[in-house]
Formats: sequence, structure tokens, C-alpha cells
Amino acid sequence: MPPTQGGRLYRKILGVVWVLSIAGITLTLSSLASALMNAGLSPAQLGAKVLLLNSVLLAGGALMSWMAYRGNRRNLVPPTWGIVTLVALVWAGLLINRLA
Amino acid sequence: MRRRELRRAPSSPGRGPAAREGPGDFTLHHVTDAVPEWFPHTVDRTHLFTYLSTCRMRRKLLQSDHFSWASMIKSLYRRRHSVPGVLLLASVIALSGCSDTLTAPRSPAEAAGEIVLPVVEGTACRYGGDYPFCAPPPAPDGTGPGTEPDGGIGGTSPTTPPDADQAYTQGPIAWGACILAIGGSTLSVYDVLDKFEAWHDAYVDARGAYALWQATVQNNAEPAIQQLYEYQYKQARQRQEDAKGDVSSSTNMSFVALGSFALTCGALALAPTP
Repeated sequence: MPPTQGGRLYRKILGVVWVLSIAGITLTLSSLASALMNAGLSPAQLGAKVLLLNSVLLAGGALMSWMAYRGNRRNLVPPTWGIVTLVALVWAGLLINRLA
Repeated sequence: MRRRELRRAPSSPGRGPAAREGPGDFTLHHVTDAVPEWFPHTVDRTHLFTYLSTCRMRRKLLQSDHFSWASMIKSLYRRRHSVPGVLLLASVIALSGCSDTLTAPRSPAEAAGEIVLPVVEGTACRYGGDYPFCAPPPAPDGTGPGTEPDGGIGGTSPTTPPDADQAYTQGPIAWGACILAIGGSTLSVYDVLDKFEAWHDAYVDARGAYALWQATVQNNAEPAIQQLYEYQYKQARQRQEDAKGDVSSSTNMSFVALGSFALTCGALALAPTP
């Protein structure tokens, strides 16, 4: 991470993203637990859409949290492969939400 | 004649202390220069000088071209008074080593029996920046910044601040990812708005179905009709709950999409790296 003013601002943004990603993971787990209880604690009763969407959300949140942690606490720029994977997960989730 | 003069010379009345300090006299430098490299450094050379000053054969020792402590000890042993001399030399060496150890300066904590507190690491940067990623010190000639040493936790590579000529070169893949992240974020926000609109429609339908069901109850309609309107209300209520869940899922997705936008485009705009 370059030691410039923009780099420091980016690190602060990554800190906010890190906290929000952890909150997003928590909310996703909470909604998944609620859906499981509605389905009688049987994952087979959950729809494929719910399972896929929550899996994508959890994977995206975990990847985003990892990259934001690296940037905020270890001063490392997010890797290109991580950014590409995160964007692909976002688009996959949007398509699942729209098409399914 | 020569022999007499030589014998008289030590007892000449005019000979003072200054006259005795000739080039062949025994000084501390003789001991310091003669001590071999392997000799323990803890042995005080002054103590050896004090001992050797009382030794009768120091002249012979100093006259020999190849002085060594082994030859000295051997000579001491051959002379009769040598056994206590060897013992005295050994005791002087041992005492010197021990005295150095005992009289060596000790740390204040060890001397007073204090509790040693853990080392507190300073977290301020001399030339600005956020610790531990401090800004590099300025160059002595003032022409530009210097290089920053490796200060990252877990092995951050040394970085140099980019200048005006260094464009962002993380590749067109990152630019494409940024554009896709912008599109995904926009789509996710529209998705949330659509799901919220769907929830509002379901809410209005549920309220209408509830009003119809209550009207049938208040007008004492047939029980079958009441049950039919009650069923319609419950269906509308279920759609409202489903719409609420969809809003929640879309909101979580929009969080991830906006986070990807901040990560991708923020790196391009704020933290360009060569």
C-alpha cells in the first residue's frame, strides 16, 4: 500500500468494509438459521435458491472480510484475483436472485 | 674489570628510581603485549603484572624471543620455588576472573531485585504516517523521499511512494472488475428497491384481505365464506413475509456488492501501486 494520503484513506475505508462484512456475515447466518427453523431444521426442505444465495453471500462476505483485514491491518493491497472472484460472486448472487 | 663493573652497577649510590626504568625494565605493557590471544579476557592484566613483578626470572622471560605462558610455567616448575609460584599464578588467574565477574557492573533491576516490566513499544512516527507504516525519512538533499524500511506485520515488502510518472498498473483486469462492481452495485440497489416495492404491494394486499375477512365476520356471513376470506388473508400475509425475506436477502447482497465496489474501485482511485 503506498504511504500516501489516498492510501491512508483507502485503509480507513477498508476498516469500515471489514466491520460491515462481519456484520453482513452475521446477518446472513441469522437469516439462514431463521429459514432453517421455518423449514423444520431440515436443510433438504430449504429451496435451492435460498441455499445457493446464502452460500454466495457467505463466500463473498468471507472473501471481502479477509481482503479488508489485510488492507486495513497489514497494509496490503487486495489481490487482483480476490477482487475478480468477489465481483463474480456478486454477479452470481444477483443472477440467482433474479432468475431463480 | 668489566665483570667488577657489572657487579658494582646495581649497588651504585647514584642510581635512583628514574635510572632503574631502562628499556629492559618490566612494565605493564610487557604483560599486555605478551598475553596470547587465547588467554581469558576476564583475567585482569594488572594482577598478572603484580605477580610477575615479584618473579625473579622476569628478565629471562622478557629476553626470550618466543615468550609463552607454557614456557613460563615450565620454567617456574624447574626452578625450585616454582611449585608455590605455579599455584600462586593459577590462584591469581582464578581470582582475577572471579573478581571481574563479581565486580562487573550489574543491571539496576538485578541489583535491587526489582520486577522487570515488559518493553513498551513506541507507536509514533517520526516523519508522519500511521504506525507501523511510517513515512520514509526525507532525503538529505531534499530532492525527494527516501525508501521506507520493511515495517509491516508479517512481512510487508518495502514500498516506495509513486511519483507522477507512475500510473496505476494493476492491469486492465482490475479496471474491468471495477466497472463490473459498479454495475453490480447499481443492480443490487435496484434489486433492493424492487423487492421493497414487492413487499409494499404484499403489505397492501394483506391489509385488504384482512379488511374483507373482518367485513365477512362483522356481517355474519356464511362460515364457508368467512373461512375463504380468512384463507385469502393468510395467503396474503405469507406473501408479505416472503417479500420481507427477499428484501433482507437483497439487502445483504447489496452490502457485498457495495463492498466489492469499495474494494475494487478504491484500490484504483486511492491506492495506486506500481
